[in-house]
Amino acid sequence: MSSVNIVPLTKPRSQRGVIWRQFRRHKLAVASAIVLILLAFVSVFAEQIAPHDPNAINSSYSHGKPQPPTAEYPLGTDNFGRDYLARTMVGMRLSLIVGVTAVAFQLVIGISIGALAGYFGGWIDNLLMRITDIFLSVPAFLLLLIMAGILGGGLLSLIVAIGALNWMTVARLVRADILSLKEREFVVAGRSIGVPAWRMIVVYLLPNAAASIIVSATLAVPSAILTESALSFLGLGVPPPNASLGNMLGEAQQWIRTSWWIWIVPGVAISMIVLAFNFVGDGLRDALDPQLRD
Amino acid sequence: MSRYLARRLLQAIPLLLVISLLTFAIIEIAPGDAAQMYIDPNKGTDPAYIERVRLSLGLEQPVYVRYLGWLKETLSGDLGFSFRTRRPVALEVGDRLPNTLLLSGVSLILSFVIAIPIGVISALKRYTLLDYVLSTAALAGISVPIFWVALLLIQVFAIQLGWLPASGMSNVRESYTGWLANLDILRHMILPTVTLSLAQIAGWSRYQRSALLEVLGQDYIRTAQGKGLRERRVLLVHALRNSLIPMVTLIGVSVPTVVTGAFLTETIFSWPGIGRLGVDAVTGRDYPVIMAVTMLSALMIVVGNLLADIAYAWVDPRIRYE
Amino acid sequence: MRKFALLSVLILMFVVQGASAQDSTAAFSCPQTGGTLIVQGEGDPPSLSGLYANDGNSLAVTTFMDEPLVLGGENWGDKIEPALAESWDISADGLTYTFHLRQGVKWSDGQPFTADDVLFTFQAVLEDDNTIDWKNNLIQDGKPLTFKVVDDNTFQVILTSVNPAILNNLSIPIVPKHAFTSTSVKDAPYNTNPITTGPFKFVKWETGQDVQLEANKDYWGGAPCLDRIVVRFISGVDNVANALQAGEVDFARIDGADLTPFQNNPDFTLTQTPRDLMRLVGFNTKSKTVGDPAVRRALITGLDRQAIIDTAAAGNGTIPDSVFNKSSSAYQAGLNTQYPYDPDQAKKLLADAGWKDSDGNGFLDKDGQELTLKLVYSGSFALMGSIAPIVYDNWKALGVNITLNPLDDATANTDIYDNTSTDKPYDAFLSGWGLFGTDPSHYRTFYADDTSYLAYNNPDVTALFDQGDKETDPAKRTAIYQQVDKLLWQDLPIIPIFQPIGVYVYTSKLNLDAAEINGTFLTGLKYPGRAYFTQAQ
Repeated sequence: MSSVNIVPLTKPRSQRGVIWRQFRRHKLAVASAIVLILLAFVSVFAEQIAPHDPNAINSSYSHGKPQPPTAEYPLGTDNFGRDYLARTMVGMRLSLIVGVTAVAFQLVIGISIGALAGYFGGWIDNLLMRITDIFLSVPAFLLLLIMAGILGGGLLSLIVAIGALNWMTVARLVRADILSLKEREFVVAGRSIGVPAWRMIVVYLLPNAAASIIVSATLAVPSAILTESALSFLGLGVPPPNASLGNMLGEAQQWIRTSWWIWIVPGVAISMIVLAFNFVGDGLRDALDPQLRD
Repeated sequence: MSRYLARRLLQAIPLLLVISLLTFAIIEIAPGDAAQMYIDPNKGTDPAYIERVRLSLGLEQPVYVRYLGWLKETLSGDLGFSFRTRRPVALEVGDRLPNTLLLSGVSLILSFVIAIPIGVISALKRYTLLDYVLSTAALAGISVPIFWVALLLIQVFAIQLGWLPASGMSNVRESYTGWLANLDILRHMILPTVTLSLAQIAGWSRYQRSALLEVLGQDYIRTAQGKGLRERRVLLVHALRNSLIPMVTLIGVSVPTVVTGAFLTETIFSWPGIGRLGVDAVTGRDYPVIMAVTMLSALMIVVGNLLADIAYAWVDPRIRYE
Repeated sequence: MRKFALLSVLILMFVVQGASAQDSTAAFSCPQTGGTLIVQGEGDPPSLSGLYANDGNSLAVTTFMDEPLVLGGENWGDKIEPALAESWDISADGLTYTFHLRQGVKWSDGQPFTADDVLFTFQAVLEDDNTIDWKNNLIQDGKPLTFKVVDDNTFQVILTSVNPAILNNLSIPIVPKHAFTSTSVKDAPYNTNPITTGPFKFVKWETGQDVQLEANKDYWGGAPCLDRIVVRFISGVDNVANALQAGEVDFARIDGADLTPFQNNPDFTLTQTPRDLMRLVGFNTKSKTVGDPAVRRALITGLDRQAIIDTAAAGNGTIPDSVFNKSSSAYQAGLNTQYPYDPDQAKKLLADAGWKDSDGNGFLDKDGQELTLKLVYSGSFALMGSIAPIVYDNWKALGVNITLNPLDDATANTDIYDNTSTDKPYDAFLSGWGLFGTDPSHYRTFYADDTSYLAYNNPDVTALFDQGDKETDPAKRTAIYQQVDKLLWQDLPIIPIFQPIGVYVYTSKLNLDAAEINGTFLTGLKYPGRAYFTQAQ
């Protein structure tokens, strides 16, 4: 390490600026963020951009078999003769929407429960953790069916169901972090001077647990997207005829051998979106963690 | 600590009771019942026959009578009979539990054994080529849908190359015995285990890496770095121990799934496990089986949580339980 | 002397020839013996007892093991043929059937098969407590039929009134009396350890994995060529196709999955055989929108059924021209005029029925009611998932505000199949029915009254069904059901979409010529004992 550095005077940097600079150093994260923004844009304007209606059936073109890519159908068609490019775009939109809203739901519940349990301890911790256990023990499939039964089996019930399935991990992680942080000097000090609990949690503890929360959020969005795709693959997710990357894969199973692009395209799309979220999450974590800065 | 343990175990009892009530209630609320599974939609089954089936299954009784009946039977050790197959639930679960334990257990151990070292190496060799390669591979591993990978694996290794079986737990054409039979099962386990472990290994190694990095970034480590090699080594070991806290969470959460199985993988590979049994039971509203599988899962969670919390205290001496 | 001997030998040969032509179950000599045939089932069978085997999973196993008195009933093919009963006489008044049972038949445990077993079986079926599905088959005019054991090999059934369908009704698998302690068969150990007369017998059931059967060397129809049959549990047609390709299943029916890997492939043989099923759209005939027959006629005109066959069934299907399945004795080709696909004509028909888009939202309406159509179906049934998008697309183009609602199995049961109210929660559903064999009277269940799936109540149709139940003259009976066909074809409470052609795929090492692939048997094989491998696997 060098000894004394004469540092030229520069403008004072804001907190946000520092984080942004750190993030920019992580090239893959930046690239992924750009990709995600592009994807979001494409998804929002999918119907305008796509040359064909994603649900329009063209059996005279397909004759029951998926058709290979041509100039008119850049990604070919599925066995119903529907434009695969249009369906992929619409599918990505759906996956993004479901992923993000389901996780938002999970975070709100998970952070609240985890923070309260970790900070207050005692019977509150016990009660909340037992509630967490209850949600963990009820079989996921059962929970999903109930949601479908009560909420009607559409998109909303899917989002609530995925949300209800995974908040427990967030809760436990936040609780674990808070449990460790609770005994630190600044917390003990704050308590002793009478800082109210909510302020303790929101202003002091959660930001320190932020790294944990962000990492789990960025792992949760992909997880939600993957769960939705698995459910749609099984026929329990997004109802037809709307395309979701998952139900496209469900229909594509039989064509892996003869029309392999039908299987590859949605899988690569899902992987791409999820990978992008993961890189961004990594970049954010590196940028936000004060102790990792040099 | 022992007081804490005793309290937790005692609390487990009302917890399990609540879970059983909740599950029972959920099955009630869900539309349909087990008698309807005897309907053949192709032929228009006589509704009177379905009513008779309903009576024979005891479904006409009010829900609290059935719940109390179930509770009494279960506490005396009788798990009842499956509505779908009329075989004892104990047999249905007992036949399949070893299969699931085998598959999920081996995947869990494999994932742990591979993920921790990968995560540690990534963290220690941060920003080197090795780190980038490992991290990207891990990211790719958790980004691909497992059923997508599974079917690709089957297509390549089972159908095109013919090296590994596409389905089932054993080869029915030949009846192997002894160690050949075990080898046969092992062979059938390869693809499903790879499928199950892929995402786990990738995810866990990332967690391990980030957890270790966080610990390494703390002040006492920097101090040690400044002080010299031996102090640094001792503290690295300490750091490693601390970094295991989130890992313990992850594993604690994963233990119950070893028992409840992985439905998707079991279906694709036709593996005769609890995962499939549970889902089939839910689809068929077979509540004796649903209850048995749920209570088993709940028991595993209680045990898993307890072990995880004890492990926290052992790993991080700052955490105290009264 | 020699000439006489030769002559008598020749005559004897002709006589023997004649007898066995009538009874095609004479012994078959196997070109090759040995080997294990692996077939597929969806999952664990609810029961291995012939009395309770009424679902796909159980029948996939029991059809290899059990035998009824005569073939031709619900799960036993599409023709009345001798099985355990070698022949039968019908009294002049048509009320007494005397069955001459096959002699020398043994159960798989070595005990002889006698008329007592037949009596026991029918008594068990009739007992309420046993909740056996076929109880109604043995009841006439509210009372059970009368049975009589004349001697070890002769069994009589006495009816109270003439019933032309009685042989179909009596086609129930026979179980051995000595395997039970009483007529209470519901929880008997027999259900997991059956004793049977058929070509294969039960060996082992590996829960969750398979059921193993072995050849019954003493089978009256001749020892089977194969050593063993294993029914492996693999669910999902794509997983089955994978298993076939990997050689883990030898013979399976592939419905609606890509057949390309098997076509033009010397390792596999494909055989098509028509199935006794009809895939259809069923309407809630009390619905506010599709309750009008004119609307339904427009909808069938606006549905591209050939496209559905091409996409959902890979072209393996025929467009029906009757509400009865082809195997039914009531079916008459050319009886009805077809509704060819013509979207413009369909739009015109809807307009003629008074539906116009008066508010410009793209959907038709009439008197303030929008033409909404809630289409439900069982989401777990992949075939329905392939049919639905085309129905959606075609009818949306006509201006129908159609929504698709896949349901999980239990909800499908509650809403559609176990719903006896007349107020249905759907406008239409996608489903299928059949496997009735030759007798058309079964179709009554669907059209007879407004609690059925279709909420359909047409007094003319009901009266005709009543007549058909009583009519003994086959020609007159057929004429009655053809009238039913004409009426229903006009009214269209269902739109028959297609009759599937089953495609059986099997390894080329297997020879199934003598075994006869027959889609009306759940296992797909009429004589499984005659299947053999031409090479070792």
